Amino acid sequence: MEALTLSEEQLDYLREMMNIGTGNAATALSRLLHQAVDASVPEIHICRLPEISAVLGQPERQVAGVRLEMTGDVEGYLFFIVPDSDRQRFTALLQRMTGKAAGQELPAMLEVASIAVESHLRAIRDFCGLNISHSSPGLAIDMVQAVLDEAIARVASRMPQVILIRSEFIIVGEHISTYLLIIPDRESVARLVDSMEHARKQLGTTQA
Amino acid sequence: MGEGIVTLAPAVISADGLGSCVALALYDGGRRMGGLAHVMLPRQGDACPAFTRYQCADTALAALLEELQRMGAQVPQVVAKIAGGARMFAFSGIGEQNVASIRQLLAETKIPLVGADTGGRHGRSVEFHLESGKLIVRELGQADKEI
Repeated sequence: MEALTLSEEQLDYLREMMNIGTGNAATALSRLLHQAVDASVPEIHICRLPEISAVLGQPERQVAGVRLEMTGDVEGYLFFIVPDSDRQRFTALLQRMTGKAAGQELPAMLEVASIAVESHLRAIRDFCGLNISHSSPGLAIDMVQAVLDEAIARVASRMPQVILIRSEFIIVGEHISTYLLIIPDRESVARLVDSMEHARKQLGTTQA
Repeated sequence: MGEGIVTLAPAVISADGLGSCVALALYDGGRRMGGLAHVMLPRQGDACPAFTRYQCADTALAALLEELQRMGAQVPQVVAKIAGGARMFAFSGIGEQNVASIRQLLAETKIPLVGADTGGRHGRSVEFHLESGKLIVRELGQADKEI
């Protein structure tokens, strides 16, 4: 129960669910930007929390990190992380397209994080029937490990694994990478996996 | 994260990307030996037993002292420096708890705290130079500090 071990079929289901989530996010972003936004199929990694920095780059890599607490059917933490180079290109796009002045970058970043988080949570709800809420987001622009370490310290003993979704959005030729980290605590993992398995089987039944 | 090393000059030990975590450095200047722990939590019991002993402030201090003594350090000669313990997000507080716990443990063990760069809302990386005992603290976009 403690380990987040998924079968190949479950992993495919998770991939499909998060693909829809990223698609939802692209649609919502295009509404915000009044501009077509494409998304490539997201990469899904399931890794141990202490190894997360290796997936995200050097511990000192500068990122914008938005942290939210996850409540409801699944509890834990959510992080939305944008590497700094992507953030700068992205905020330049935001300013150009929405006419937002410089200095409004941080609120804009929080808005984008909320869009990404809610889009993926909606996909989980639609697929698995799990209702997940989140706290208001907090933002830090700093070294990636510094952004994550308190959450790692708090939950690593209870839930050493994380679902990492790397999405790439394409906006007027610019490729913007973002990472969404879903860190469920131990009590929530079984619920997440069971709900996914249940939904997946139902899908199989419907198709047959 | 959650790791520790004890060694001799001229080694340089580093800990990168500290947010709420604290780098605890102990140094015996006479023997030019020291150790660095990347502390994540204030007390043992906050972490599961499978974790390393360097993860929690109390076990980390004990482990560093034990290794230093094994290498011949004299505990009355040992001094401490710390860096980290930031509050990266408004609604968090493990950083302060880590720092408070380490300060208290050092006082109980009678190890003088001779340098500290803690708190704030920014991440840090440190390099501990065992040749000199200097702890160099780096922040993004800032000049290095020496404590």
